Amino acid sequence: MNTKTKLEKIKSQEIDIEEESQKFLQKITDSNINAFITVNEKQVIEKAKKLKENISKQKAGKLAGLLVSVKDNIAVKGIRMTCGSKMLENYTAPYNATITERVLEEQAIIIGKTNMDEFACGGSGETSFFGPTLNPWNNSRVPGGSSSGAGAALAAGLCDLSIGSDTGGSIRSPATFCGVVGFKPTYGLVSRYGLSDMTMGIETPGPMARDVYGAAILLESMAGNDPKDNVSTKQKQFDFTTKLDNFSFEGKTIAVPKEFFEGSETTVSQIVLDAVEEMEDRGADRIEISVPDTKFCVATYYLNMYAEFASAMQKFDGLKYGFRTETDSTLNETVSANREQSLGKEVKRRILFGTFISMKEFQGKWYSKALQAKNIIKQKYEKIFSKADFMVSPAAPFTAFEIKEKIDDPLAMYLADTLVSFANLSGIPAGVVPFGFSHGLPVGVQIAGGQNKDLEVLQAMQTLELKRGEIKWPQK
Amino acid sequence: MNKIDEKTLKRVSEVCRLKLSQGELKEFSLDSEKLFTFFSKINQDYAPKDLSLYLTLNRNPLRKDGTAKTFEGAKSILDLAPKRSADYFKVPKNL
Repeated sequence: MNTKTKLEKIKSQEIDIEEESQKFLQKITDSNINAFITVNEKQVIEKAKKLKENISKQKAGKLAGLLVSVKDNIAVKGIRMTCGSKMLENYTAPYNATITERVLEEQAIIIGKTNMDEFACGGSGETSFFGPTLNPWNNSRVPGGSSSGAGAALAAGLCDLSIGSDTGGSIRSPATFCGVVGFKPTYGLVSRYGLSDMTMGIETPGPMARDVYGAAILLESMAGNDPKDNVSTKQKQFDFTTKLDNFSFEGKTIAVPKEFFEGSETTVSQIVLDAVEEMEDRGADRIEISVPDTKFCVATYYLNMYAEFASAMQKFDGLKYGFRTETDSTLNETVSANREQSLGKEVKRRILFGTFISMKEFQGKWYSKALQAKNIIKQKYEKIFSKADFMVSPAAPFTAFEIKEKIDDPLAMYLADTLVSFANLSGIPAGVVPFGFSHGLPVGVQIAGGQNKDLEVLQAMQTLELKRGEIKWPQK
Repeated sequence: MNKIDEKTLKRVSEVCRLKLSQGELKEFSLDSEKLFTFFSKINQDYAPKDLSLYLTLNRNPLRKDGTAKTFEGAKSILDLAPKRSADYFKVPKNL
């Protein structure tokens, strides 16, 4: 059942949301994919009971009764928020993120907090302290990351909608590997207040769903000005649903960047090219473009991220909250030991290298250059979107890879972000919609648009979705 | 050579208060060679030599001063403290 139909059935009370919630909770219990870190069992049923009364009085919100999962780096008051780390294993969020407040106002039911790479450091879903998440399509494969639990939970039917966050592809990578819809909004469209920061200069929360309408209505509920976030959009509200169907590719220009296909598997490229052909058949003009800057994106992204991440992680010292070791040494030694014993290898690597490139003697060679490169990339994409409406590409050069295949090779893992980090560096919207399968694994098509063209990107995604038809979801 | 030697990494680990074992220092030093050689492409081929460009395009809007409010979540925050004494966080001595 698609999201729109489900909402209608909830509002007409054809679906009993209390029964539905119980059904989903049971599915989570029976599932083997480790998609959730914390399940909000008790509150889900209480909330469902209360909502039933409201719905019967015709007071239904936009997300009334939908079961929404939240990535475990976003604060939900009174619920554990671990960021996938031992450091925050016992941390309970004392306040709600702005986006949490907003989805609750729209009567969503928060079913739980999803698994993720530790502090979002990973692109495969393997670095969580709580164990790796498995891909529901094939349990020996990774689900993508860092919003690994979000993507896997949707594909396995453990929730209706998911909130993820995208710093260098962390929504779009699990979307393509798990065969669901993932959308990275324009930077500033969605408030970051209450998101545990990784790289505040480029990251954003965003919606994930089984269909584009689900992503659009979740985005609509979350987007808008937040005085608590200083890069927030000025516009208070957005409408991404009523005009979703009102779209034609007639007169639109589609840019196809050749570098995005060069290292991609043939079957992946073919599925994306089929999508481009579909757009052309519907009246779009296709232009081939070259973006040589693509090869600099990963280096630019990781250097920017290293520096901001090392700075953001300073607060995790185990003094006011978080893991605290039993030692009787000095402050510095205690903090060092707390961090040593509670952080995973990839997090340590990024803190260490981020501190290195931020130090005065090395800064000019790495971090300053990376900031400049980021600006150049942003300008290049502004130029592309002054000539084209959309850029269409794969979101990953391959389908979901084997668990442990890349985990010991950080560079190989980083290179998996090659086709997604451009959108974060340039602050533009980009979404992934599943459009085919290769050897039983889903392949998503990535559509990017100019800054603030979020609606148009969603519209283009939905057109492809309608052409693709229903997905037969995995039954595990 | 883009390898960061173990001695430098030890100093960096002290700066960022992250205790590392000898094995970790060795591993991260080896990683650094591969990673920073890859990153060096933006130095050689991409970023301009002139550093006078604006480093960031983000602006930082100033917020209007509002009326001060009493923070009501103090107890929930203190409850999260690994060690506390009455209404204070208990932290190790400085020296």
